[in-house]
Amino acid sequence: MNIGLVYSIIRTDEKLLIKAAEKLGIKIKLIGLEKTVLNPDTYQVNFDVILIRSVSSVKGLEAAKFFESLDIPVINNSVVASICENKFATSLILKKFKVPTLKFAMVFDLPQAFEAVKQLGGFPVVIKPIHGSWGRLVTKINDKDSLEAVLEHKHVLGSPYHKVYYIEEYIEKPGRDIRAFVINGKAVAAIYRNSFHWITNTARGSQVSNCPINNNLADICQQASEAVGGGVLAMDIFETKEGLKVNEINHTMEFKNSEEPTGVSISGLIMKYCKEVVYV
Amino acid sequence: MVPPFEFRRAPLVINYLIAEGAFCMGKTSIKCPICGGQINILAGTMEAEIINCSHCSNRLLVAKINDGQIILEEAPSIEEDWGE
Repeated sequence: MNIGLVYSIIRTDEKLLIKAAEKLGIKIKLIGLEKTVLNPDTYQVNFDVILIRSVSSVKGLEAAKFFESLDIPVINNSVVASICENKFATSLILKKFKVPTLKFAMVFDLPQAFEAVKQLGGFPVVIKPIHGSWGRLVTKINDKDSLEAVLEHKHVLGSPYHKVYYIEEYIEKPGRDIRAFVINGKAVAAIYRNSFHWITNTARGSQVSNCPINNNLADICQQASEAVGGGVLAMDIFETKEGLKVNEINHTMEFKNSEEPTGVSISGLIMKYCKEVVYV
Repeated sequence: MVPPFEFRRAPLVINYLIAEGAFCMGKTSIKCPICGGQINILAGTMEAEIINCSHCSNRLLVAKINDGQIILEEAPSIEEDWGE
């Protein structure tokens, strides 16, 4: 059993995965995207399944498409990756499949942004780039002046992707949110990300503690996983007055800070899932 | 601001035979290509890993490990599409 582990840089997460594979007797073939030619006429396949771990979502998605074209099972596949790498697409799918999520709208100009804010219940709102991670450029907009300023900056300085304005309702969180790790629809571990800041990404310094998985959490994770197409996912979930709501879904999850507080070998479970995909 | 992910070396020693890739087999020491300070490279360090220079704090990419020779380069900047 060989797993092709596709990477662009090696993080602690990839090393944990390699270590987990070692324990399970699985051989890893490291596929560095910077050193690989993805030519279907010449590529030599010597693995049974591909695990995409590229830190670049653009490169990871193209690699997923390539290996799928060779009939290799890919985790996560290009459909799941396409949905999860785009926050607007994720919101639309969650909405379509009636998974509780935040209110959101997409606009392309300032007058429509004001109208969207009105429809979302007024200020504050959150503006996010449709791509990106680690809480980068996620902006809380408290009033009209801030909205005008941020949109003007995005319009003048941004790439085309920054000229589509994804606006989301602002949720007053109880000083934390939940990061759930979901494999094949099952929530296998979860953490609270505790922070005094409204942005609670661990990449931004939030403190991590174990979050017990109750039925409500397990159910919403399963629903969200089914909506986006399954696989290995990390979900950001808010505790709101109306219950749990899925905010974002990550398809190339980082888990290095979560194995210790949860006591769960997330890396081991990912490797076991890769094995199951091959042998089912 | 806290860096978007930890650049600390993981305390993992991996059996290099399990994975086809280049690993540093034993602890070694090499000059930082930016400041010239001597950096300790731990056993288990892998090609394509990013490490921090303990002297100048710059991020360095382990560009090549070959026959015990390690080449460090200035690490790439974090790109817009990097993340989870």
